[in-house]
Order: sequence, then structure tokens, then C-alpha cells
Amino acid sequence: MIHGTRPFVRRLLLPAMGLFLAACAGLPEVQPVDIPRLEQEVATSPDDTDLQVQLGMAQFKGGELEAARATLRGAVDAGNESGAAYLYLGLVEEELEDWSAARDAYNRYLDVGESSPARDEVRKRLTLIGRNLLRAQARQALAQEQEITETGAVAPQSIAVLPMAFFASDPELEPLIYALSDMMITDFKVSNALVVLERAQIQTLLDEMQLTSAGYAEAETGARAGRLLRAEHVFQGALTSLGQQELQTAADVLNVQRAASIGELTESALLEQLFDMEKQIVIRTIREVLGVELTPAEEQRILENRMDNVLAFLAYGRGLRELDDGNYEAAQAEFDLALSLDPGGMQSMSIASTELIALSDAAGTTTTDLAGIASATGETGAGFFAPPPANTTEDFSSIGIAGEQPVGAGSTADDQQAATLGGVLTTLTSLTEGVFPTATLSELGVGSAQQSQNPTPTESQPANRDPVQEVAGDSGIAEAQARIRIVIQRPGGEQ
Amino acid sequence: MTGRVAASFAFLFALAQPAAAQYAIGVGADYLGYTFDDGLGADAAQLFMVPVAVRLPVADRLTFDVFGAWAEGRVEQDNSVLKLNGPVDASIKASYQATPWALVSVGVNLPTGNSEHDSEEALVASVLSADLLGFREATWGTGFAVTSSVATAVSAGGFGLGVAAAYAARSEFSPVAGDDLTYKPGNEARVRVGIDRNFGSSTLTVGGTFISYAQDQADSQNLFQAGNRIRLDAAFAFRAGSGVWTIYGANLMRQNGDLTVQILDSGGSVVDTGEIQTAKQNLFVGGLMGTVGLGGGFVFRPHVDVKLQAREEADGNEVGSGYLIAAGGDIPIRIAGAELFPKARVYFGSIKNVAQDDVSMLGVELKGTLRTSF
Repeated sequence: MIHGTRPFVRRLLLPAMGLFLAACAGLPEVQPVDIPRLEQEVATSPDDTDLQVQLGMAQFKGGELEAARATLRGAVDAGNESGAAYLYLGLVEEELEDWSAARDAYNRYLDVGESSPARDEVRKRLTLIGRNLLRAQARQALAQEQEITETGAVAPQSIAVLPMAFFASDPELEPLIYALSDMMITDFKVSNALVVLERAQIQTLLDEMQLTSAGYAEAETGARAGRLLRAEHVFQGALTSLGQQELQTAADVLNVQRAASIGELTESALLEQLFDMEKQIVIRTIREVLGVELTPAEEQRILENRMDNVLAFLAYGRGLRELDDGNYEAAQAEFDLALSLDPGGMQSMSIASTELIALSDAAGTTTTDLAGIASATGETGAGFFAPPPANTTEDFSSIGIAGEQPVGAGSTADDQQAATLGGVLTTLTSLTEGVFPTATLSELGVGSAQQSQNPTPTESQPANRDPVQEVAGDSGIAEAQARIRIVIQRPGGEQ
Repeated sequence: MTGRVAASFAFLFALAQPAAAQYAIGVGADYLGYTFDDGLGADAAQLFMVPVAVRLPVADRLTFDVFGAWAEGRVEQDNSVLKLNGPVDASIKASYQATPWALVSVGVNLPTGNSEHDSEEALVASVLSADLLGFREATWGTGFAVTSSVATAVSAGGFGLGVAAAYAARSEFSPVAGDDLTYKPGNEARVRVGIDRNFGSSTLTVGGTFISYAQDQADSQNLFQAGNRIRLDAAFAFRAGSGVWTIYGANLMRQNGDLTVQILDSGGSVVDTGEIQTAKQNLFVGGLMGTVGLGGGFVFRPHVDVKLQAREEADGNEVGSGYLIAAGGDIPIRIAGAELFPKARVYFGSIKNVAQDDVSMLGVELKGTLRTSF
């Protein structure tokens, strides 16, 4: 893939760009050798925050990270709003592994930074930082487990979907649990009545808990993970093979605070009907266990979120596993295979693929590289190109940073497309009920499933004509008529 | 473009493999009763019904719906209670997803119901047939019939657009107990055009249906030409919190019908025929239904609606016109793998009598439905 060569190309281009742009405006480039001079100038002009930023840059390049952090934070606190200040503060915080502070500084840089290439790199970097932040949060949660358990606070209506445990003779099928987990999370998120935790957040915690996949289905694991994630509910289960072709999903939904199951579901299906089984589990969990109704549009989007090819789904699952393990090239190869088997893919696959590219690029770029890009493209030092205005409207939903994505539906263009494209089934059902009402709807359609299958309420459907009463005039109750035969005898009659 | 194609594939796959491929059985106990102030042809009317419904997805794209019920209707009139009871017609409907864009249905109405009514039963049927009251059963039996329909739809510009047509061929039956009169309702054709669109989590559905009938015949003689019907409807389903709400409205216009009457001489021979125009009618239904959380995993699903009926006889008489407002709801309860839907609603409204006076009425609906899937 092209992106795999990007760091190499960048390393070739950066020196050339730097030389070409060397004489241009911006905060002057500084080196560690400038530190004594800058310290003296800062002491002489303590209100010149640009000098403080330059000092911080030089300290960063000289490896004086703590000093650089203090200097740059001081400049920012004093009101310096330059891109260089926030970029270098982000670089320093990242080197010091303060992922939260790095994220904040980089986010601010996206608002004020003037170098488009640097901002692109920072966006990718934020994906990587998001992963690191999740890991740090997971470790922190584990370290504070006792306190978290005692507090018992949860986010209302939140649910953590754990990957299922895998019990099957064919290990080739194991990646299904990762792909299914990803698909389920996407499906649960369709209902914006639920707060669904990100897969990366959950998987990171499980990895930090050093669990094997077999442990995912244990109630104790679920309750513990739920507490640490501060989720109100935990969805966990097991995927079991029944013979060569059939799979069974046994799911359990835990209420974390009560540490008790609030619903168990079991579905089985042939391998090629895997997606039907997953949809059944998700829809039944949302409705029957969590008590949340789905609009017709929401149910339709859940049903449409599937792949055409189970082999592609398996490849996607392997890709996710490699992604979680940090094997980006292997993950990319699996994603490419999935895409070749099912060119359409599914929504979450394109998100994961975008995230993978960002992670892969970010992992191949050091903080020094990023500082070089900023220098070469005018953020600091030279600045020959007129950079485009900062695009402050971009958010991180497209690159899958945990905690930054809006929960629920309609957050991406693909969502919108899926939402509008799938209206045919609803249309067909509604049309048919309009011309040929199904008598069983009143009994079998009394749940929210009815609304999803046919959004036109039964009450507004046409009643069948009552021919006898209509002939009789059918003012019904007003006159209480009973006969239909009408005989009018001509007065006098003919003999 | 790629995303659209991908979504199309996903949708085709979804249609080819319906997720709701479960057998389902529903059994109900429904009661709807009204009391009327003085001035109408009855003091009270009630219907008690025990419906049984089964859904059988026999193949990936083929589903059968089977329905049967036992019902008893009662009308109180002048301190006497008139009854009509027995099984109603059973029906079987097969729905086949022929292609991703076409749904074909064929159904039969089996004459298992009590269609032959004596004079008291006919009066009960007459009262229960008033559209405004919304009784679910008023005929008990209308003879054998075969109905077929086909619907097709496309997705264009974010809209679902479609058209459907249905044709019902009806056979004759005997409506009067102790009389050999045979009655054949006219065959029926329906055409519907519909459009819908999802807006995020919400769905808007709008449609129009045209219904036309052939002549009804009594003893093989043309008797009645029912007026055409035009129905316009719209529904908007949207999310509010953890609940889903639907607001809907429908308007059914019914044109005048033409009743052919025979003019007999004193010997009973037909010497001429004439036509009498029956009433035209407009019925509007508007309502709101949704979900309110009660805590503990329970929800209350309120349902409020209003019906406005305007009738006009050929002579301008508006007998039968009126309104009805209903409010109530149900609380779904899960019991060991099954779902119970107890529902209660109260009704109040008025209806014009023959003297054009508005007569008040009160009603109550109590309903319990048990449904299970496997």
C-alpha cells in the first residue's frame, strides 16, 4: 500500500523542503545551542511570549523535556496562541507520555495551526494518542479498581459490548468474535438512546486485564470490566460451533451495579446466516432486555449493516485483531483481503481502515519528524507557502478517536446514505398493507417490531368494506338497521 | 458512489435473508364497548373477541400469516340484549419477497364464519358496522374470497417510492338465516402509491390509495354499486429519548353508492328498476402513539387518537356523522419468553341520529394480547 512508503518519502522530501524554504518568515528556527541566548533574552523580556516559545522549542530539541513543558505551558498561559506553541507543547507532552495533555494541545493546534501538512499529521497523531490514552486510562482504572468499585458510578443507559468468548473446534473462525463485536457495537450505536462504549476502549481494557478470549464470557469478567468502564450494562456472550456449519450465540446482559443478569438470549444459525443471527441478538437485546424501542429507520439501518461475504467478514476480524495488537501492516493486508472479497464492505470497516492508515502513518512518524514538517511548511522558521486557513470545523469522528465520536446515528456520510437508501423494504411493506392488510398484525405486531415492519399504524389502515351493511345504508348505530332486502311496490300495482 | 453500491448490496442481502425469520403466535382477548345516550337505535354496543394469529416463515422469503377468531357482539336495545356470536372468517395470507424490489402476496378468506344472520343478529351487525365506532368485527362472514397483491418500490434520491395493486375476487354467500338469498360482494381493486424517507432516526411515510368495486349482486341480479374510496395517509415515526413516537393521520373519502331497487307489481313481478343513492362519507383518523419509561424495565405506550366522521345522505341528511376521541395505552410485560400486552383505552364522542341531534357516547377498550416467538 502507498501509505506504507509515506514516512520514507517524507524523510527524503523534508530536508529539500527545509532548504528551499529556509529564508522565510514565522518564529525563527532554533536549536539547542540557542538555549543560553534565549534564556538570557527571556530574562530580559519576560513579557515576550514568542521568545518563551522559541526557548521551549530549543529545549525540546535539546531533550530538556520537563523544562520545555514548563516554558511552553508558561507561554500559553501568558496568552501565546501561536501554532508553534501548541504544536511543540503537544510534542513535549507526547514525549512525556501525558496523553491527555498531548491530545488537548494538538486539538488546540488544529484550531490555530497554519501548516496544512502539519495539521494532517497531527490528526493522524491524535488517533495514535487516542489509543495510548485508552491504554493509560485502562491502567489507571485497574490501579484504582478498589476505589471505582466502591464508588459504583456508571453512565446511565451505557453499554459495553465485550467480544464473545469462542468455543469452536475450528480456530479459523475465532476472528469472527472481533468482527462480530465490531458489528454489534455499530448496531447498538444506531439507537441514540444508548451510550455505547467504543470497541477500542473495551479491547484495550481487556488486554490490560490480560484475559484470554475464553474469559470474555465469564460473568465475573463482565461485571469487573463493566465497573472499570463505568458502564451500566455489559453485553457478553459466547460463540459456539454446532457441528461444521452451524453457530450458536449465547448472550448475557449484565447490570453492572446489581452485578446480576437482566436478560439472556440464545440464537443459532448456519454460518451463512451469521448476520441474521447477529441482528436478531442485537435487536432483541435493545428491545427486550434494555427496553429501548427502535424506530423503523433505526431497525432498517441495523439490518443493512452487514457484509455480503462471510470470508470477507473473517478477514475483517483478523484485521481487527492485528490492529489491536499493533501489527498495522498485517492488519492492512487483512483489510485489503476483506475489501477484495466484498468491495462494498460495511460502514465500520471503512472507519477502521481510516483509523488503521492514521495509526500506521503516525507510528512511522516521530515527534522530531513532525517538528520537521512544521518547520518545512511554515509553521515555524521558514514558511514559504501560504498555508490554507485552519479548518476548525473538522472533528475526529472520521478517524475514530475513542471518546470523541458522537454516540448514535447519523454521524457520517455513510450513515446518512444508509439511512436513506434502505427505504425500499419499509415502502414495500407499507404499500402492501395499504392494499392488502394482514389480519395478524393486531396480534403479532403489537410490539415495536410492528412499527419497524410497517410504520403506518394499524389504526390508519383501511378497514375492509362491509358489503351487506353498506347496501343497507350503514348509518348503523344511528338507525340500527337490520335488513338488506328492499322491496318497493308500485302503488295500485298493475294487474 | 462506492458506498451507495455497498449499501445496495447490503440491502439486497438483507432482503434475501429476512432477520425476523421466527415463528410467532399471538392470542388475544379484546373487549370494546360503548354506551349511548338516548336518541340512537341502541343503548349499548359491545364486542368481545378472541383472535388467534400465527406467522409461519416457511422459507427465506416466504411467510404465511394465518388468522382466525371467535367473537360475540352485543347490542342493548329497549332493555333487551341482542347477540351475534360464533367464529369469524379465517384468513391465510402468503407473502413472497420475489425480488428485492417486489413483494407479492396471495390470500384467501375462508368462509368459516357465521355469515347467516337472523334479524336480531343482523341488527347487531348493523350497529357494529359503523365506521366511527371502530369495531374490529362486524360481518363474521363474507364468503370465500381470493386476494392477490403486488408491490414494487425503488430508492431514488433518498426516497423510497413505490406502487402496489391488489385485486380481490369474492364469491357469493348467504347473509340471511332461513332465506335462500345469495349475496355476492363486488370484486375489489386497490391501487396505492407511497413514498417514504428516513431523516436520521425518523421515518416519514406518505401514501394514497384508490379503491374501486364492481357491482354487488343479490341472487345474481345487480344490486349495489359501492362508491369509490380514496385514502390519503401520512405517518411520522421519530425517537424521543429512549422511546419511539409515531404521529399519524389518514383520511378516507367514500363516494356515494348506487342501490338498484326493483319495482314490483302486486304479483311480485319486476316491472321496472330504479336507483337510490347511498350516503357519501369522509372519515379522518389522527393520532399519536409512543413510549414512556416507567422504570424497572417497564414502559407505558400511550396511544391517543381522534376520529372525525362526516356523512351525507343524498337528501343532505347527516345521520351517522360524529367524532370519537380515544386515549389510553398498553404496558408490555415479558413473561418467560413470551410477551403480554395489556391495553386499556377510554373513548368519548358523539354521533348524529336520524333527527340530526348529537348523541353522546362513552366507551372502553380492554385488550390483552399474548405473543410468543420461537
